[in-house]
Amino acid sequence: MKHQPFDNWLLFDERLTPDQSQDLDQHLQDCGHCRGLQQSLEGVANFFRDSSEIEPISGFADRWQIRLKQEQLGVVAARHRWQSWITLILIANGVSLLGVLLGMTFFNTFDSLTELFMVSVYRLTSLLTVINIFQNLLAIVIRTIPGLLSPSGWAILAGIVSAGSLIWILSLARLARMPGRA
Amino acid sequence: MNDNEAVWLAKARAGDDDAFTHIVEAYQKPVFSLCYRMLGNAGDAEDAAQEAFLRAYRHLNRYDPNRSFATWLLSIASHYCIDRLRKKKLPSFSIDNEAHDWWQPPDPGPTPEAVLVMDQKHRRIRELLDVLAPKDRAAVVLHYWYDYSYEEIAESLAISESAVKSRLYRARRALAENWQTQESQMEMIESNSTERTPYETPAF
Repeated sequence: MKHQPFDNWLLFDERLTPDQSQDLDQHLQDCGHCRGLQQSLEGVANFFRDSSEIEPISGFADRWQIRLKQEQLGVVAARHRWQSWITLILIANGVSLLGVLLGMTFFNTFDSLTELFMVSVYRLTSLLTVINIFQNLLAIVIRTIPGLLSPSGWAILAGIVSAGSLIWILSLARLARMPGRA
Repeated sequence: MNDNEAVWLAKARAGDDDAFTHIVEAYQKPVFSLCYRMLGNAGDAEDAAQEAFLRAYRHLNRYDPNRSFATWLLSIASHYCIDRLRKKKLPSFSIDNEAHDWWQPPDPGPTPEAVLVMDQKHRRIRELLDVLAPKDRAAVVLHYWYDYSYEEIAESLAISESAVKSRLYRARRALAENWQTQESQMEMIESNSTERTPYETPAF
């Protein structure tokens, strides 16, 4: 038995003319295959349309807001990462350029590598000497200061400094708690 | 679109997150439902629905107010689900692993029998839809659950109307064949269960 065009009419689900409807009804009476197809299509359509909409678990909008915030924070973090990388690259370029310029200057100033090495050693020795002098001065100061005040005098001074720090911290905490301040 | 929605959208376009949250509340059900029908399980549907709303919010400046917002939003959700299905080639999901608390039936206090019936119904729908290609599935979901016309489906899926017709034609044939298979399996199970006498156990 020929199933066309009835098969197509059923599957395209389009409006048929009265003549086409009559032909289809006639064919469906005789053809079990097409009748089965029609019943299945109706079954599927009714089954789908009868099933209710499904709701998400409550708090969907809240979860969406959290996700939005996370995404926004992620975007900001990514932007900061990029800014950090760009800054780092710029600094690295600057340092490299400076190094090249200094290198060129040194090579122009000194006739040979040996001379450059000697000057470098001389500068390093001078720097170490200066550090040594500061270290000696600091040792003298540390040895002298404890003798300036008696032990009770140091205790009073420490008490005054502690009280001052405490007052300062409390003032800051009170200021932070004032309305209109974050 | 009602007036409230227009106001919320205008505010959201200006960067007001809270205004868009009203939109999320208003459309969470249809968007989630679409994602559930497309992906077949509540966990993926939740994730896809959330992502669809995020994409809509991100690209709100592309929305044309002369068009239906629901169509635009569901179009975003459909495309996201289609992409996800294509990437993942989603495996069929066992109902035993399903977290039932992801979705809430309309009845606030369903009996265990009602939950079971609903589970079976959802599983049957999923099995029916599983045989369809992602885009065909989207066309079927929009046609049967959202009563979208061919024109609206074409607009949502960014395909021509004739492509929608041919996709639905192909999908209907596959659904009908799948339906017939399911029906014959159910008839077989029923006939097997009625053959056994009430006192008989499988051991005998």
